[in-house]
Amino acid sequence: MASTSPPIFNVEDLENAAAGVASQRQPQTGETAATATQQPLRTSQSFRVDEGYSGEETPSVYEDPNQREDLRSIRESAELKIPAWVTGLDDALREEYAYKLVRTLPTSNIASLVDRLVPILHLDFIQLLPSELSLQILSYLPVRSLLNASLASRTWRRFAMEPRLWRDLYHGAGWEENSAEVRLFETEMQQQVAAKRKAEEQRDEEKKLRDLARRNIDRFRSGPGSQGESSTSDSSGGPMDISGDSSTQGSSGAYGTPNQDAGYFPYMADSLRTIRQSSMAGVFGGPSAAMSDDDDMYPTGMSRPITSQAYEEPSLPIHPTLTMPGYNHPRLNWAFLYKNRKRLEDNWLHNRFTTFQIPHPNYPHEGHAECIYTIQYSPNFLVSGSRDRTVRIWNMRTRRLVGEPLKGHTGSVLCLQFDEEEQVLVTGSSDSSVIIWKFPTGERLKVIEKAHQESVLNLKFSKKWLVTCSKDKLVKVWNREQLETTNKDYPWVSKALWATGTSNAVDVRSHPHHPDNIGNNQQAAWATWTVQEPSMGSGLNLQNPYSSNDPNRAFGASTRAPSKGGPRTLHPYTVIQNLSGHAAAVNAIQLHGDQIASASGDRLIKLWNLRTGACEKTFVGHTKGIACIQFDGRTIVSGSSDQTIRVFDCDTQVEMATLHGHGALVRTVQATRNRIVSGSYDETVRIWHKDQEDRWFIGATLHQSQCPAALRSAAAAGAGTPANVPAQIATLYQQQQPAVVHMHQIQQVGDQAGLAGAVAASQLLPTHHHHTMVARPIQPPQAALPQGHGGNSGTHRVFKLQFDARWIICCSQDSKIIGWDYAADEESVMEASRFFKGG
Amino acid sequence: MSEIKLLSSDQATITVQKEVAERSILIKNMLEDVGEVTEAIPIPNVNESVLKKVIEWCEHHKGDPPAQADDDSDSRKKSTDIDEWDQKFMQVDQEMLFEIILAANYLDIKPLLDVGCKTVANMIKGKSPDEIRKTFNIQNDFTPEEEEQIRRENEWAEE
Repeated sequence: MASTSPPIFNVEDLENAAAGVASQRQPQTGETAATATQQPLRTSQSFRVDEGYSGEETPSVYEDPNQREDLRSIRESAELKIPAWVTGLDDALREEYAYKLVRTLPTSNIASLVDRLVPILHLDFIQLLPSELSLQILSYLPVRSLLNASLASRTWRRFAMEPRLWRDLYHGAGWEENSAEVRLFETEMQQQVAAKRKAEEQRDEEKKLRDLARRNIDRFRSGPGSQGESSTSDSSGGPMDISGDSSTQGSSGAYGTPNQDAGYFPYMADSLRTIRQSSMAGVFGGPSAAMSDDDDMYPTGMSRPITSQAYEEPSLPIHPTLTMPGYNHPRLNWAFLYKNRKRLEDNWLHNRFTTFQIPHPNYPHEGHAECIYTIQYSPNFLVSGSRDRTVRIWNMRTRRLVGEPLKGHTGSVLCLQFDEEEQVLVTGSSDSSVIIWKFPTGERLKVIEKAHQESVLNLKFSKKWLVTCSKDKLVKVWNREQLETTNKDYPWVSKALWATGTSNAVDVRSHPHHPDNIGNNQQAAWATWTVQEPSMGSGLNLQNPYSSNDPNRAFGASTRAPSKGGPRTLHPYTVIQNLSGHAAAVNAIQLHGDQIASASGDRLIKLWNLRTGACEKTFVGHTKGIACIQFDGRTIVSGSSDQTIRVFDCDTQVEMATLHGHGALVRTVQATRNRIVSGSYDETVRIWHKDQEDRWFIGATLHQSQCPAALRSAAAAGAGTPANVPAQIATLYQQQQPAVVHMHQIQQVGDQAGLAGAVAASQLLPTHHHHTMVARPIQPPQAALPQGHGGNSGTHRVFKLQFDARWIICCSQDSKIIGWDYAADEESVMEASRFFKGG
Repeated sequence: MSEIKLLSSDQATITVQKEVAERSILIKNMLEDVGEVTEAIPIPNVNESVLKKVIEWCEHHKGDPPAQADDDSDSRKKSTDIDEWDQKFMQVDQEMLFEIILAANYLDIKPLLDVGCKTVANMIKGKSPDEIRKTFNIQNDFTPEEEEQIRRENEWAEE
């Protein structure tokens, strides 16, 4: 209550009280009253006018008619002292006294008093505070409030639309940005502007020279008069001194030629600054051309008074655009990105998308001849691997085939990965081989004929390593670059190479380059090489080959004999580790740093250390074989023939969620923080969202059949007159209900042999019998759909999908690749989406 | 407990415990640089009434654990929760609130600055544009057409 803040005493007030109360008068009353209103509030006398206590009524009022007479004649001013006996009253009494005092005034004076009081109760914080504080205030607001604030006034709008606030809100919403794309964009903007500015500066320079000539003439003519001119210019430029500092200094270097009069200089600097500002303002809407990088992120407090006086800042456009004026260069407008990300997310939630297919409907001959087992896409390319034994590279924008199909495998292409930057593509096949291609030219760089004993089911590579897994139950690690014994990545701990602990083991410890033989200061670098006893890795290890003394059991027939002799240079694509432990085909792997997660038909997920080859963790949960896995270092998401998707926490090994919904084997899965998309042999793609309580729920079920039908009919319609067919045939679906449309009424299965990779998980599970290939009727489609193209009919088991913020692209038993585009033809969303990441 | 003196912009001397005054990073650094001081430390940007109010806050919070020096995004947290005492403390007129924010900024008392800014944010939160204008005495300088256009543009956030 009132005791928390006692009445405020002013020392001078007390002195005045002693000397005699309220006898002072202001000589020029009218004038001071006028100036007082203009004075900034912060310097005015501050008394607590606490709204919280204003309701109290206090009857006893001290009144002295004489003094009242005195006070009435005194007009308030900044220097007017309030008598101590007044300040000594408690709040309620003082209020009552003030009220009585006010009531003695004519109504017009009361009105003007009210006008003066309003700003005390109602201050425009955003306008008056230093801009970084204004932004801090706004940073606490949720989107809705921020948008309301943006409607308060132009100044508020300028602050409320500050990209930094929206960038925080964007991240606060759990959305990720494509930081590489953001950086690239910002660099481009800076470069563009740097070029423009160079031109500006050149013009400034010329202007300056003209100016200089003129000033010199003036000076010559008027002599000392220029001095006065200089001072006026100085004072008018006063508030700019800080923001314009760097420009002043910059000019002093450039213009401070030795033969110039030093006393003359400040004027020059000032006028130059003005020139530059006005020219820059015209281009970028900023008042000051030269501010530090940090300053340009904020509209600075220093610049504001000037902007309001000197010229009208162009207002922000009503509809946000990709860029926003900045003081140095246009900035990426995060309000625009936020808005469009929200739209995009709403499209996901409300099932709004367009669809497309690869091959382009106008060029069906470019497509695969048979079903497609694997795809991967980047913003520029999509690569597909098919049962037709070819690999095809597609242009993502035109959806046209790039070059010729890559031929080399003698079996189905089951898995692939490419890296655009590294220009490399690696493919694995049911012919047990792995091929390394130059990307996107398709030149064959390396063929590993017998990479495994059986089908290579999955592969992943990083800069240094390639990891493959196979139906032969093994996971293998290969080096991608030549490794000298001096290389810090040299695999000193490798049972595959040195057969540690067996009769023909090689003693690598005696090698001079072995970490044990290197000085202590080097030891830290080798820290990752500590050998972990595999048996200690996990109590759940079902089968640990290294706990046995029988080396044959450890490596099986698939492993090459340990290399003869001691450590030597290892050529690229040498087997560094054999990760053996799974009791069935290893269907999928994921590589993250030095960790490998593997998923097998034996229902287990294992986590391996790539460096030591040790199995560090085993995850139990699935009741049937596992077909797919995603692992990001913290979370494992896996899909299984038990028709569930399970989410495991890596550290605790706790199963955090089990997603039921699919009606058959879950063949492919990808997850982000907020979204999981899965594809199944039930011919659907399901989108799972996370709710507020972190629980997953099905957002939509996409049926493979939906889009091919639409596309096919569109393609068929346009077949005769290709010119009338739009370049990208897209059909917009807007549904409140998840779509349920099927492509084929009768499902037919291709020959079983071709599905080796696809069904490996289920085949290896004795308890699982679902893959009996029986034609199965499915509920009829809602609309009569044209029958499929000849030769392409088949079931639509989903084999592989990939998604990002905007697209889901997926391949199936069909020979076409289907894409769902959640930008749904909205231009601004498409424009913004290159800056988005994650789902 | 050692004490120091502060000299406000209006020349008032206020004696305060060193520990309390050191909630201000500005004063803390100053004391570290200067060592022992007997004369009053001038605080030229803060008048007596505001300085007293700020000291009142520092008194109450002198035992607080030092604020984590983590990144802003975390400490800002978007939460406008303010503890009860601070809420009461901030029940002052807008001018005083304004002065407290400026003083906290100048004296470098981050937690007080945060509370001040959150208090203002709470005054904005949940209000219509018109209510915001009234609260802060803002002149609406949009034309009616502009205002309507922006209002419509902002509708994207409604769902």
